[in-house]
Amino acid sequence: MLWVDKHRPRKLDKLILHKDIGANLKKLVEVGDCPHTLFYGPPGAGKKTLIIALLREIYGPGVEKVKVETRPWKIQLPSRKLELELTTCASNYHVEMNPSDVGNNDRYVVQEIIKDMAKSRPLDIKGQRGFKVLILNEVDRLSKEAQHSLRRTMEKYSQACRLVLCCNNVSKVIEPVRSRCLCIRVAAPQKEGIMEMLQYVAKKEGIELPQPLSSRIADASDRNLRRALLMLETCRVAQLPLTDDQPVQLTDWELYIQEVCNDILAEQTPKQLYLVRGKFYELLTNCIPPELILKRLLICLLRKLDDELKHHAAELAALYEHRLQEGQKAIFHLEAFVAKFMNEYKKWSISMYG
Amino acid sequence: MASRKRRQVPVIVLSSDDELEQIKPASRQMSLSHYLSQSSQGDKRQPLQLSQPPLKKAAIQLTKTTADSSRVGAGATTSTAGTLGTAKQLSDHQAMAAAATAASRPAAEELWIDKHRPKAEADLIVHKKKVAELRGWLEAQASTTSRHAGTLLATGPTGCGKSTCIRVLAAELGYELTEWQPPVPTLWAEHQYQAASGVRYVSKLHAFEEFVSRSKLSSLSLLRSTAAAQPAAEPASQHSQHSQPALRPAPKKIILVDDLPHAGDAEQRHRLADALGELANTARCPVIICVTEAASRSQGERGAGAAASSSQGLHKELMGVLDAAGAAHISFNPFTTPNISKALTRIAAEEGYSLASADVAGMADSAGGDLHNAVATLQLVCTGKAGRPAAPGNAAKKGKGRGRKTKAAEPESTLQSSGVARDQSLTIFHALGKVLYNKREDPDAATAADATAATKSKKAKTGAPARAASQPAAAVRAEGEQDVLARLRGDACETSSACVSVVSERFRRQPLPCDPEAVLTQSGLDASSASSFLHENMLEFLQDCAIEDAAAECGYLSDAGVLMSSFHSGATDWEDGNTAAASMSDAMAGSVVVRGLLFSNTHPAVRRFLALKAPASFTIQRAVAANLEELKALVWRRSLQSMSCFGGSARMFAAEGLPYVRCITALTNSPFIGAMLPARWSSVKDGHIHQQSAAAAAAQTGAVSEMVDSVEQLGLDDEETIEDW
Repeated sequence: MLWVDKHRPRKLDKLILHKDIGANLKKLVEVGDCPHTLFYGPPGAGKKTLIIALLREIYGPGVEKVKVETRPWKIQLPSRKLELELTTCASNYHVEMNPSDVGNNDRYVVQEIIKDMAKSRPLDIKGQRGFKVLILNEVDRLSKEAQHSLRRTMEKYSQACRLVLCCNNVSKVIEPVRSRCLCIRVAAPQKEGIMEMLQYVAKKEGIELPQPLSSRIADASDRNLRRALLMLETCRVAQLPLTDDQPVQLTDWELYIQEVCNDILAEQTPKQLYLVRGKFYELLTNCIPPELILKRLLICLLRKLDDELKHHAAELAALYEHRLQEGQKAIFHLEAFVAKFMNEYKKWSISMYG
Repeated sequence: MASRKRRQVPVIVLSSDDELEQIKPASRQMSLSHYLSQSSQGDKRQPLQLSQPPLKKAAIQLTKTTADSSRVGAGATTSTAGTLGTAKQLSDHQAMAAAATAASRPAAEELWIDKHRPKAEADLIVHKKKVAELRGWLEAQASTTSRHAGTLLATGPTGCGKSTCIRVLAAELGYELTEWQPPVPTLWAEHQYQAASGVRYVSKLHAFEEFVSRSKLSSLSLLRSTAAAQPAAEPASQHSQHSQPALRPAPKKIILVDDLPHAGDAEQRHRLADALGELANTARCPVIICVTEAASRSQGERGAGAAASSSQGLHKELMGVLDAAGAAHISFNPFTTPNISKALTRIAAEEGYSLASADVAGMADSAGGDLHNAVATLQLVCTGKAGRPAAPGNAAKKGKGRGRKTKAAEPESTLQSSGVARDQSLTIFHALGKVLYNKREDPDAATAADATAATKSKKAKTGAPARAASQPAAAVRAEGEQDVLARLRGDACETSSACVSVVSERFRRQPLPCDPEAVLTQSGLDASSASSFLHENMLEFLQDCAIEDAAAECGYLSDAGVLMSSFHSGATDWEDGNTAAASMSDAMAGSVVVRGLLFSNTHPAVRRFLALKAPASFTIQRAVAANLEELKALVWRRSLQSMSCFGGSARMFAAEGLPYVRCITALTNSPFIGAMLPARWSSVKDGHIHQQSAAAAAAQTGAVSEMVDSVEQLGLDDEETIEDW
């Protein structure tokens, strides 16, 4: 088992980071009525950990006995019959799903599953009908229609089921849904927090983690705890007595983007653009989200640019990141960013060096 | 089988609703008499008595609609004998009826396309080389001694004379043409009606397979298609000898398959491929397979799909089978416009009509290389004329003969006002070429007043998308566009001097020889595939230094990408989507792409031949989808083992988890962590998807760890630069 999974806190009182959120959630459960909740924050901040700990707080250890099933759903629409398959991960008390898996049909699926859950309500300890929890991942990837349909369903079935929504980008969740939920912001941990966590895991694993290395891992991890732990494990696998000056492994795609960045700065021609396009395709084939590609590329570029150009690059990146969110065809937008940037860079270098 | 053969159901293909009104009485009468003819079983003379005014009217209507019905596919329009004589599919049975009809009916009743069918090689207007090629093949078949007869694949667009050419030459060389007769298409309702009488439904594909297996035997009881009249039901015993070429020197047989079954999905295609391969390998007499190139007439279908899946109108798989069987291949080109006009003039002269040469040229042009269509058009025009004294279209044209440059459009519009001409279409690559090569008109060659007016109006239009790409000024495309165009042209004429100064120097372009939206429409591409194709190819058409053009082009593509998606997310109603809004936004996206590319390409590469490529993004999309599926399964499996830490998000796992998991497996060989790698991983190399198994992927991780080494250096490099800044 990866260390990330192994050392994840399972209970609200065992949390090392976000203790304040944990305490608040605990109070919420004690009161007995848990509202719909929306956890949001950057990746690797601990949203999922909090959700799982919350579930355990409500239902006890039974919630960890999950089964994954891929079930065909037949949904009767007014005009046609929709048949699709969806994988869910469920225990007796909760169902977890990724509505964005089914693409455009997400709105039907969410409703149907909630109805289905409402039919079979579990009994709580006092013998009264309790509620089930539906965890929806990646709510920011839900289509607007699905979010609107969610808002009605949330009210209608709130007796039978509580929703726990989880997303990175809260601005993509529509206002009505946000207002019906208790929004919990899970911030990315500070560097100190990450270092503390790294030391904790190292101690549990019985290895010595030198302070400078842990500091470098924390820096490289970009305040993403999941990454930091994966990095730590990779370091441990690479070399057992960990040393101060050990290299910290970055992901392969980030290095690849480094290469792309060098390509862009080396030559600004349509031919080079074509080469870069090929590399983007490679990255996309490996399922790297285009937003991450653009972000990483910008970070790489900014490091090497003159101050005069930095704001141009940032502006372009902002524009095309927005386009990525709005439009189809990720490659068009990525390439447009590179082409426009090449143009700016060429103009600048001509003006600089004549 | 026998009872179905006798059915000659008039199939009427309507192109619009108002025609329905006109045709109703006629068709009712026809079906009534048809019913009569059916009830008086076997009396084939019955339909002939239909030569009455209503039928005549119906015949005209039908002629008119043949233009549109050409895409329906000849198989579907099994015609009433002699009325809708596409004549391709005439089995001997129908041919007999047709012959009888022709004999008893006044000449005017017959379709000109049949009446003026070339009878001798000299009459053919197919290119001499193609005729010689075909003749050579046929002669070679006659002299060959090998047991296996050859196979010939004749391809070409509709109405380019494939079948005619084959028939004429076969007749001249003394072959007997035997045609596979496909079963009559059956409607479900019909089938249900017939099922009681014990008639089984046979699919076309099934019938073809049966035919192939029968054709292996020399005692081929196939039906003859040559209209040589005598009943085909020769006793099978007559030619049941096994050594046919030696004993039966007289007419040698040729099998003609003119109407291949349609193979929609992979499984059907596979069956068809098997059947074709068997036919090519085992047939005892030469086989000619006629295939209509659908790709060049991509009116109805999605252009991209057609280009990706079919070459020469056949699926790649089928082509491969035929190639493997050593089939010869002759591809017919569409007729040139002068050729068609020559033929039209000849037919018109024989019929005793005199037409203005411009009219003929217009007809020929609008037929787009389809002689069949052109003759049908001619007949319709002439039939209409019979009542009218003069040719009004001609006079009208003299009146507005100013639009010299739109040579093709003018006569087309006069014809189109009578609703005759078919839509023009362009092949995908032709259309892409028009955009990518960015050919502009030479300003010096353009003459005085109206030329400059046109220039300016176009210039003004071209400037529009540049100024505000998100503002869809360029995309007023439907009826409105004509008005806009006219207004712009009018304005430009009035204030010709002011117009020049409006647009600053860097936004000025030479006039375009074509209308970009029209190019897009004619190519049959939707915005999404058009932009993919253009995106794939555009960089090659730029000069090496022209990064600023590339930047502008990419910008427009990105704009279009947003426009395209706005119909995906915005216009999907609760029900099945708002199609009007969808097509509008699609049109806008297409317009932005095409005009944007034309506008921003100011440094076109030196003109040379450049092969256009199919977009790589399609392959990439498939690979990504496959990988995502793998990852999803994996992520869910993981969440079973331990409450997953990747939130069930496959993409997140790909970006954050997978690289480390790969590293860890490469370094430890721990099977437990290795189980977290996807079982199969697709990658794209040279435009093809390669799937690697887990083992190969593990080997690949070696490469990753190599990369790790190089990274270390890079990493150091990074830190230096950080200190720099």
